[in-house]
Amino acid sequence: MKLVIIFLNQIEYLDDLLAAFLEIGVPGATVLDSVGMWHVISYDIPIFAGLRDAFAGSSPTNKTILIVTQEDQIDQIDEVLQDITGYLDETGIAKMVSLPIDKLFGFKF
Amino acid sequence: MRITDYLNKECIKIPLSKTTKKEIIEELLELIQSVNPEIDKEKAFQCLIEREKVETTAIGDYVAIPHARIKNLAKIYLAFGLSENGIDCHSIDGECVKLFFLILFPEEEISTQLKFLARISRLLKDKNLRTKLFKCKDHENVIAAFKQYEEHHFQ
Repeated sequence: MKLVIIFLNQIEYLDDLLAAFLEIGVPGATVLDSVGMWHVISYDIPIFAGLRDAFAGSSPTNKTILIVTQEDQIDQIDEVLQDITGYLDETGIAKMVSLPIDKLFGFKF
Repeated sequence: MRITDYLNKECIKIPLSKTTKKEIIEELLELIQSVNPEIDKEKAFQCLIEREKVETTAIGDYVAIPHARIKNLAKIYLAFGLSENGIDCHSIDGECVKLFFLILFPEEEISTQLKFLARISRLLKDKNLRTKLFKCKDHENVIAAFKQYEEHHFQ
């Protein structure tokens, strides 16, 4: 089993992405509201406020999507993510990692 | 990156002679320019004041780090000044400011600016270092204090 983590910086893709995950049979996902480090440091830590203009293009909020899934579904998730966001072509829209899971508790597949 | 690599004895003023934030910015800028005549003082001053308008650089604990990104700057310039009585700078904790670090960054080097500000603000969170700096009588004391704390914190 794997844990997929998707960092979605352009949140307008979220609806399409979740719908597409349902279509390919993703068993479920947790969607977290998140904020990138650049935004936090330049808006919440006064000493870095001078860098706001340098990060002007960065989104104030993003979404972090957690998916626990079978290993053989990772490529499908990657394809869907590429198809919807084009994230491999245009950096900054989304990023994805997958991690091995040692043990699962409370999951039913 | 070590703060001591940028601390130049000619750019340390103890005590500061001015009594307002703007005047102190000017006083420290003059120190930097006296040993770096290539610096455009007027331009740097404007950039520093513009940065202050975004949000105060008086970050609390008696510390202010006025800084700015300047076009066509070859390197980082740093000046330090100690105000024995403290200056009202609308600090985020409401306290006066005694320790002033004025920094000029090359405009293009954002990651360097981030690292430098992170390093100096983290170092100055150490109460013992601040206390030591309050007691400094000359540039040698300042450089020695930073050296000691950088070696301790950042092996």
